[in-house]
Amino acid sequence: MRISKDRLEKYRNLRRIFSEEDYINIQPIQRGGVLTEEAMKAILEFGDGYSVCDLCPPKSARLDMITSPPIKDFYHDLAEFLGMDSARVVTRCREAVFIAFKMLGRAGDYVIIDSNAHYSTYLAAELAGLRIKEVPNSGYPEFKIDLEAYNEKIQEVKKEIGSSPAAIFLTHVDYLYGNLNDAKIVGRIAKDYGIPFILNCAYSAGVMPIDGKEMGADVITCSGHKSWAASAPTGIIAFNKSLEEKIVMRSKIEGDLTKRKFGVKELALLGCTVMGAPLITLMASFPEVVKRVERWDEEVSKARYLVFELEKIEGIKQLGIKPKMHTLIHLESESFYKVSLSHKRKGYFLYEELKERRIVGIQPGLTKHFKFNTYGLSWEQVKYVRDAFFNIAEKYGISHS
Amino acid sequence: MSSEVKAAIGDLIKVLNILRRTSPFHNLGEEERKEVIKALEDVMERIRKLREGMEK
Repeated sequence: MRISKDRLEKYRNLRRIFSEEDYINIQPIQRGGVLTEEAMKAILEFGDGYSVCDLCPPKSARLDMITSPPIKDFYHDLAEFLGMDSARVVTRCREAVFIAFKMLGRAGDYVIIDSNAHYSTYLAAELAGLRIKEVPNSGYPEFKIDLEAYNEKIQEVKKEIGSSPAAIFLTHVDYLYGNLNDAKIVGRIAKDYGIPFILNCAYSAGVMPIDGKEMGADVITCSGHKSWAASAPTGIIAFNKSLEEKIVMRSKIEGDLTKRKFGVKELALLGCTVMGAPLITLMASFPEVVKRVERWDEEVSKARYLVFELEKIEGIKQLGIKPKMHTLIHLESESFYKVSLSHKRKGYFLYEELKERRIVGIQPGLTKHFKFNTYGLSWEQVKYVRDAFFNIAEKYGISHS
Repeated sequence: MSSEVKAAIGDLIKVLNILRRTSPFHNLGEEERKEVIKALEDVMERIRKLREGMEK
């Protein structure tokens, strides 16, 4: 089929409407994925399809065996940085979760998950054929996960099916409230029962220090495009030696006619995973990521500052655990919501007012509850965001102290 | 020649990154201003040499 020139025109000169150079972007899932200078340069070299595969070793043809560019070394460094024994780059964090579920469980097994887990955790369990038990949270306004309740849930599963769950899963920092969970508590429970512990670090690894060994994690999953200054799609699965044979089990299949075998390939990864721009940006940003996690306390202090300031606006309240331990912030705003009820643009007014002030990232249409992220913003930018909110509040007659 | 082109783009990427850090109004500090000017001078120098090379 031919596609007309006119129809193809829209694919030329693709430009982002809200470029990072022209706006302050506080989108909750985008801050940690902003590329570093090195990553942007690396795309020039390795943006082409299979460009990282120029020197793929013929006898062990696998992504993690390539030494130029230094992918093999990178995988080792990645594992060490996360305090784990081995690591592989996969397409997304959710895929890493799926791989862990699939390789650690059998159809019908249970996995225990926190009730603030991302929807994709549920889907990963479903696709892997697992059943789930949810660990409750405290509800409004903190939504704090009851970490000790993992004990009860394990007992519940044992009572129900007579065996342990295949794994227990905790979202280190959740996407709804940005609550940071003390993973060590769950790590200890997992160890007591001898059950593999999967820690989802999509919002933590790459922006804050992570030591899997210290937290008792058996598997760590990460998101490169969310928290490692990398292009999408990039995820990481890191694991301990004891689970290596299960997680990255080699292929055993053999062609019935040809007798072809692929014993060097890692089954759950379907061979090689992420190449080209996503992998190379993850690698090129790595030195900066290693450095930037040391500045985490400063990042948290900016988030706390902004929450403290915005709560001066009548009707604004931070949801989730206080004080903030992470830069992802969820605000409840009765006052802006009230404005939206009579505003001609309804809930879109807040988004549009912010956009007019060159701030983007709050979901269009939301006023009663909205999320944003301050990660990587300068103090000047944080104060600018504060002033913009104050300014909008004043415009609509909402007081702030 | 291509490495010089890429180096010039790299210099411009440096400028872009500074613009990202200082969006939306780009109130550059003294250090940042110097960095941008140096990067732009480097770009111009690289392009000048490239052009001379092409003309020869």
